[in-house]
Amino acid sequence: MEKQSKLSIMLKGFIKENPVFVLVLGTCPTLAVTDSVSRALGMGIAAAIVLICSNMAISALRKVIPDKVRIPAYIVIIAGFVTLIQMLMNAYLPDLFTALGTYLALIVVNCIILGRAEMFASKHTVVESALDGIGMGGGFTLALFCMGTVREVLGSGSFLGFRIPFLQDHTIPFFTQAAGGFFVFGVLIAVVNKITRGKAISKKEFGCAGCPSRGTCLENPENIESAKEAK
Amino acid sequence: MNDSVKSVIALVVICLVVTVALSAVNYVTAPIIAENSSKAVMGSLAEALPGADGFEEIEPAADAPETVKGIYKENNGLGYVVTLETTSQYSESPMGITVGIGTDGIIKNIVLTNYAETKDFGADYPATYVGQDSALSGVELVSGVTYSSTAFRNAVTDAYTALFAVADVAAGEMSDDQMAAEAIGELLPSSLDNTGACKVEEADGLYVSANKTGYAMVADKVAYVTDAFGNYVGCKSFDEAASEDSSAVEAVKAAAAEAYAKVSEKNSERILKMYEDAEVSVLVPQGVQSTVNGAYRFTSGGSTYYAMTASAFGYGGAVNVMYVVDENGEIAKFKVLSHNETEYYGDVVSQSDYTGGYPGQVLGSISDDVIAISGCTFTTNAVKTAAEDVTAAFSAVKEAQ
Repeated sequence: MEKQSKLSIMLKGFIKENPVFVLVLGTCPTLAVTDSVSRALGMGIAAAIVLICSNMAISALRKVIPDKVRIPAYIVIIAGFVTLIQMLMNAYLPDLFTALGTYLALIVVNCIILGRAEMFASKHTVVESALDGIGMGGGFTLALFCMGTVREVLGSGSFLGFRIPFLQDHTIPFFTQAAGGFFVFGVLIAVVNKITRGKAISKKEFGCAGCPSRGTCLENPENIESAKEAK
Repeated sequence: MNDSVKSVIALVVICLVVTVALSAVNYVTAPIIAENSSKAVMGSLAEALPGADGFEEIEPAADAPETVKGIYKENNGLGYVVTLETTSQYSESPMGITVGIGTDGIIKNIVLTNYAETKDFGADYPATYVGQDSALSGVELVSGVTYSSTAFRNAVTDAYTALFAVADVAAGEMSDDQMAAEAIGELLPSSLDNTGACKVEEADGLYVSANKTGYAMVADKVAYVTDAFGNYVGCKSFDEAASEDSSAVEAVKAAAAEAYAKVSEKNSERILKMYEDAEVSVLVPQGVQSTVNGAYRFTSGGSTYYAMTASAFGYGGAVNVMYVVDENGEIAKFKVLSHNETEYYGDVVSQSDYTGGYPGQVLGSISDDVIAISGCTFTTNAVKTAAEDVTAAFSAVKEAQ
């Protein structure tokens, strides 16, 4: 893998490898909590904090965690951080805690976090992993913020709860519903593709190297060869 | 070292570290979370009892109504707050009510914490309870939203029931019409409508139930009840010291008989419209305490007929019907005198397609096909009850002869 500059590690998460719009990870919370900007921001920031912390912890422990049990170990670490965030939020930001509801706990199974742990943190240094966490978490928050803005402004005629003149009398409730979420999601992916001219990330980069199941998958050329040898 | 042992140790260590970190954070945040949630509860309690300083929860009595979720005593003896949860058949999630009651028994404020009924009884409705005492004599149900508003009122009554059991709160005085309604409802169950309540109207001190199946008069906190024909049924005392007074019994019998005579005048006119040569005599059957509220005998064309009116509760109110039967109980005519059903069902039940099915049927064996109205359980039940009651009343009248 080629050496990346520290700045580019951080910046790539925002547009070039935006976890939501380019990698299309973490779609569930993206659609579920973006009907208002405040929920979207709360979710984005909470996930970003978990991502940064878990990236750093996993990177620091990458030589200690045996390969066989790495996924359970990652899950325990991520779940630990999510529970921490839940407790802290319940204590100090009870309103946001109620607003996010069950989606907060679902950060544990957010594929962005486990994906970054597997794809990045387990192979890079603590600092690089932290920067990757900031970039990816920032990109996730940015994406949720964009979705939330479009949906709340058009769907509820308000922004962060403040009513917008004219729009508040002409709301389009479709945007606050699930179908509207998918619609905005699709349009924003199209916009990002247009900006990056479709070259944000080539499909090959995704290839077998980044896949969590690469060790057992029979589509992987390496495995096919070893399977033949075993015969 | 063996690979598996290494994996197990690594996982156990990670789990332990995470657990320690979590318990440390929990140690810090748990009291704050507990304080937050009690603050939220106290906030709604303080809203229900303005001027309150703080609250202490009291354990409700074991037999307290199910709707009562919590009773709180104000620290300075200002009063009590009761939290309630109730449902009517029109809601999926419970209605949450927080009511503040002073030690004088007066409702200080009432807050709706959750409302999920399909029909809204209006934001102003709970406010009509403020200033009421346990008798709730000044509140009315919201027409069209009867089920929800009844559930609301019953919940508030439950709050008083629970409170009286554990706290020293003054009971309110019931008004005369409340006593009359309760006495008629208790002694004559046919007067209860679908919400389980008996509504009364008053004229010259005589109370009559909404379907005119019972009359009552109130004197010295005792309600004296007669049936639809002026036969004395019994009395209900609302004061331990009060007892039955024979002159009051005579008074209610006379007044109810007079009221029945008035009703009969109108029914006689109706019969005359159908049978021009009829000579109507008004019957006063004994022991007919049902939805039947009129019984008449007349002769026309040389045959003797009986006419009975009955009034059972359908969906929108009482459905008043009249049966004209011959001496053998065969139905000669069936008429819907009045109803308050929803347009469609009301039309169905009062149209000749429906009423035309009755003549020729015999009381006691009326075919279900004739009675049932598809799609409307309430109206069908009302007509069915009326048919059963008329059958019973007819045999009572025949036996008495």
